[in-house]
Amino acid sequence: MDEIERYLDDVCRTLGGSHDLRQHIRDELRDHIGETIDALAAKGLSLEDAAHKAIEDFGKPEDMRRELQSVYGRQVTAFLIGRAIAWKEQNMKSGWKWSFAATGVLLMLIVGQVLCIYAPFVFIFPGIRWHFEALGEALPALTAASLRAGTLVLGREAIPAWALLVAVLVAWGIFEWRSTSENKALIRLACGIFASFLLTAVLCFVAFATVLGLAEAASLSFHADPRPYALKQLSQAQNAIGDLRKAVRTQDRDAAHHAESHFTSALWNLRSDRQTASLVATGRPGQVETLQAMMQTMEEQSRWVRLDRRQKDMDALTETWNRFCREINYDSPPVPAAGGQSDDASGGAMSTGP
Amino acid sequence: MDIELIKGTLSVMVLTLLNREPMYGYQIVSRIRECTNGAFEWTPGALYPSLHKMEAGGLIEGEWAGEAGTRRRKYYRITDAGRKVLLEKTEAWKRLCRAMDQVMERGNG
Repeated sequence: MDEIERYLDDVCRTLGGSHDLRQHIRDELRDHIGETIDALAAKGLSLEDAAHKAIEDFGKPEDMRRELQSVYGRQVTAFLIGRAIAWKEQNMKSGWKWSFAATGVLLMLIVGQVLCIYAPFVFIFPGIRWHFEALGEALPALTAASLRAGTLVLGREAIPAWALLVAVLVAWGIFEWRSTSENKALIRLACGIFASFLLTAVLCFVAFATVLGLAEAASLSFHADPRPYALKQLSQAQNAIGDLRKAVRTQDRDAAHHAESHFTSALWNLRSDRQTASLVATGRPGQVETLQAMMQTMEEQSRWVRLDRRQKDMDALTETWNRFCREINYDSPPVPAAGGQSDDASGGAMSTGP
Repeated sequence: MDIELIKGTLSVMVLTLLNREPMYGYQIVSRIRECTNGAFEWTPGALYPSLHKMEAGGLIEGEWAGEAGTRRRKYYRITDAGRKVLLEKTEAWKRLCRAMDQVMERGNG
């Protein structure tokens, strides 16, 4: 009887119209085949032979399908599935190589897409967010939405990304283990292509959010008043120096590393001509270059402090910092130069503007 | 028999049979075979698309019948539009037959 159902599948598979209509056509044809089998069986044929002969009498399924399609049209989805199955039968029956190669390429594509989505969240978005926060500006809406979505998947308190990956791998494993479908390779490819389409949509969103965030950040950097930003950096450097001094006193290597990282990061942000010029109080010729040289010196000095945590190096750094503050008229609480105990490292203010 | 010739006559024969009584597909094939002493052996592959075309065209209408536990069959009955078409086609067919007869008689004579 499977032979009959297969035949009916072949005839009705891509027919247009409603499900009920296709079911009625199936029932009608099945009834006719049943009558023919009964008649042939009455003449002495076995049921199996009678079924085979009855189907043979019906003619080729594609001929009947074509005729019925001229009445009811063609079902697009079923047609596409039919074409996919036909393609699979033509190309994949020749061996496992096609299937293996196609799945491999698709898998690489998906891995590449996931990495491309993941990378901005790790390498670009934190910088963009930090930049906007430092300027006291709001993130572009799309970038903020992308960050929020990313935090849901990648954030520490959200579902970890690896849990999703494990879930996908487990689902795939169950499918490979349990599925006995003869269209297994096709289903695998179809799922992969669907996943790839979804990832492409996500990738486009993330890419657009990244470009928008970078463009807005660049625009802000060029057009915003550099002075508030520079003051924030100075304040951060001031705090970092306080932390670094504490780390030297307690010989805490991790704290020293952390503080030095903040200090050099703040200096790095101040070293552009535009930022440095915004700090210049007197407008003396060559003052910008002098300040930049001092910042470079402080970067080197802080590196030594981080590596050796010696009080002597810390004093040298403090001395340069105090000199730097005097040079720009930055009214900060003076940092004790000889291993003093004051931990007050709050940011100060420019006493006079440039 | 020539398949194109059969196709041309199929709808006329189906409408003629259904004009007498409602029938289902298998019954139509069997009745034609009996009436023509096996000269016309329609395959279901030719009959059902034609039946559905005529149904879609409003010449016949189908109705499912059959009790629970028995085989359900789709009976076709002719409609008024189908009777009108049958009349036209019968006339045309008769004219064609008369013309063919005349040609053959004179051709042989």
